[in-house]
Amino acid sequence: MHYFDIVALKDTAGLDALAKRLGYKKIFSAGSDFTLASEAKGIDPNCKAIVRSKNGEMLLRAIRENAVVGVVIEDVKPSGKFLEGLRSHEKVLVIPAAPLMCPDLESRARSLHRAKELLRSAIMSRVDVALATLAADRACMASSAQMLEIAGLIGANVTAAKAMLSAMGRLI
Amino acid sequence: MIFRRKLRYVLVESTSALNLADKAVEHSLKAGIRAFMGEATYFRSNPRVAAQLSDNVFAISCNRGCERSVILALAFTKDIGPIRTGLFTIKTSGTMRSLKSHFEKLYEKGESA
Repeated sequence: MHYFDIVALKDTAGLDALAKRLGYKKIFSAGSDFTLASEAKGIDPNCKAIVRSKNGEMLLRAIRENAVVGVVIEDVKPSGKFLEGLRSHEKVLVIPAAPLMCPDLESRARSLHRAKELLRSAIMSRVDVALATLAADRACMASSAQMLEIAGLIGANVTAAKAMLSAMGRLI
Repeated sequence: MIFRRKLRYVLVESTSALNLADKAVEHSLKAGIRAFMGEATYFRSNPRVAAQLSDNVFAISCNRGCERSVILALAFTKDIGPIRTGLFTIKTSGTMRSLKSHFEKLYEKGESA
């Protein structure tokens, strides 16, 4: 099984060699391989996009767009309607691992708890989930072995953890 | 009864150069791992710096069966003293010889770390 990661680095030099060392088939970079947007408006319909927002209503609108392949829900509990929308439109819920490894304001335990609850809700609703670092800094990246362990830490079994790491490969 | 320690070796790449010969740096690395693992798991896994292979690549030894805890703890260790760094686990092996051969294959054939 091949694993993939997505990052939001400013400097992407040497990313392919790093991907090989870290056990990924490819590390997708925001800006070149896909668009990381904060709202669905203005996304080029010919490119692949991931929308990241705290606004549940806006994300619900975003998943109806064909260009949007995945969403990142920040700091809010997903509603049942939102998870149902994700499942019916076959979009992926991306759980970012960088805030777990490099927490800013809230504690690491709180970030881990939030990610665990999000994963649990998604699995119960049969939504496709991807785990990616979405790192803005190289220090917040992780190898595929580390990501599998992080997936286990937030409640995924081995099969689900592997599926979460390979999910982005078929979409981008 | 004589207990023979079975070890596993983990190849680790750091985003910043680390001089692990410096006891203070090594102590900070161990403190970072211990802070995430807790005292009991740290004692059970017994992680040690086994070898420094280049400026930013080194090997950590730990008790067999505890390597997954070490790999996870390394993912969450971001500050080693004043140095901000990411620690990526590249490979886990039962022998240093195999780890060194993997290191040579990966890093010494034109791919800089």
